[in-house]
Amino acid sequence: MPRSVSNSGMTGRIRLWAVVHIVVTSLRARGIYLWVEGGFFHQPMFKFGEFLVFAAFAYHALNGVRLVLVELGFAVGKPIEPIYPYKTSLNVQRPLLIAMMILAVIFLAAGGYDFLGLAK
Amino acid sequence: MPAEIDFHVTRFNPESDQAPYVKTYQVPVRAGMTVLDGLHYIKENLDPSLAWRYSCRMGVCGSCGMLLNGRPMLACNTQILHIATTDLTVGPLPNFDIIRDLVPDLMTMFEKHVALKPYIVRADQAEIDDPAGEFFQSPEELEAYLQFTYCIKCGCCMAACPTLATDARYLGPMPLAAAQRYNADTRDDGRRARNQLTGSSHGAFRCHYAGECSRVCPKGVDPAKAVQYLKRQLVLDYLHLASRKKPCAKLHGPGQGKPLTNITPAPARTV
Amino acid sequence: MRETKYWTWHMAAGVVILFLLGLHMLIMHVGGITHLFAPNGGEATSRENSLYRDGSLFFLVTYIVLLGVALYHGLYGLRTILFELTLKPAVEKAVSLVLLIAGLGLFGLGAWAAFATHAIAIAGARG
Repeated sequence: MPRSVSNSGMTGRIRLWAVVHIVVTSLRARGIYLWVEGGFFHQPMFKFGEFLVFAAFAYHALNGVRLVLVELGFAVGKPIEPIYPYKTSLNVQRPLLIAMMILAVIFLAAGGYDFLGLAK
Repeated sequence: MPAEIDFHVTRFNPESDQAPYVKTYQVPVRAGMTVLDGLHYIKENLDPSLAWRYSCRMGVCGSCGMLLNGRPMLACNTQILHIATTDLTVGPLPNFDIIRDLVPDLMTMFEKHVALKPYIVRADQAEIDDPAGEFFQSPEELEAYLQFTYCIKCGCCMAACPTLATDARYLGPMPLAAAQRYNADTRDDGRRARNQLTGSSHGAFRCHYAGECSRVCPKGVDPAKAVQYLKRQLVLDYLHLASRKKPCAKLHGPGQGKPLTNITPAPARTV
Repeated sequence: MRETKYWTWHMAAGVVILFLLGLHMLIMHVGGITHLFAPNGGEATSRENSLYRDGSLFFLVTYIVLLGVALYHGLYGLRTILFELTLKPAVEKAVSLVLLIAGLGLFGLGAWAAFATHAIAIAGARG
């Protein structure tokens, strides 16, 4: 079980995608040809890429919610007199971490279900 | 019958070595022996040139912080058989320069600590310099910062911090926790002065709550928690939502302050 | 206080993105389950549904807001990571400036695209 997980790592790479996305979607103003059936945006590789972006967002957003709570001092517990064995803020925020990870898995499942075209 | 454990100790003498290297010693280990005892055995019987810091040998001075099996710990309160069965790697604390063998150069940590004014700061400096009374502070007010006073400045948290590993200018968990210890102290009025540094580009906001500092702290100080409280106070100060409490007053004699109602009054003076 | 200001806005932007991008995800990438804002049925990315959203003032505003907060959030995050490489103060200033210019540029590009697409949809022209 990781003590705490980072939002700046893998899912932070979403930044690079975001810049590309802004540029590409701006092309929309120039015409719809990329979007038509059979076009680039309907290729399976692209669809899988979209799922990865969705996955990155789901993880990044849920971990971000946890970090907003923790870094503003809401989910870290009060200062206590340290009595061995020590309980730290890591123990206090662990249930929140687990809840967020479970939610992320649920969203990923929903997204995967949709991406595989199983949803109508 | 004592077991023999291989101590893989990092050695480095800047006067003669180009780079740190690892030397292995066989140390007979009994149950209850600490890593510090093992190092003493090496120095007394195997290699008198080994250098490391230690003092109290009971986990209160903070001198013997080192990297034991990849984790920053105090050598004096870590039993060998609790963390090793056949091999134990002993290295100097990372994120610091090495002076010699297992001795890290902790000056960077102390300089950052001093820069954050780790003392009571008040407008009435004369009263601080020449104390004429006692500060009135309740047990609840004490609890708000007591945990962070247990820091022994061992440097284990600084060694474990991943941000400090890449960013040498980051203040680090120990100085930031010390800043929070004073900010939360009702006797202190120096929070805004400390905010200049803690809210800077290498201050509290470079912490991303990895939590390693709290995990390795040998005294349960929980510096990660202190840094998050520090961030919260910085945001409240920026948004002008911080409470406007004055620092607690000094009492100059009996009869001042708020007496508890369930205490019988003192008997009359006889002298 | 400057870093505190940037960080506070980074957190606030994150919360805003949670809702706006969450909505975007629900429409576009979980659309098969939610069928939100796709009044013409079928795929959310179908031509009819896309044109519906392009012509909506609500979507124009939310896209531009999302663009702004996402650019701020992402570029501040990138700045944080770069600063952790222990740069010289002059280099830090340069990095901040470059990211600011890039952010403003991308915002301009994206906002123009949003307006242009909106205008096209309103005019009823063929995409």
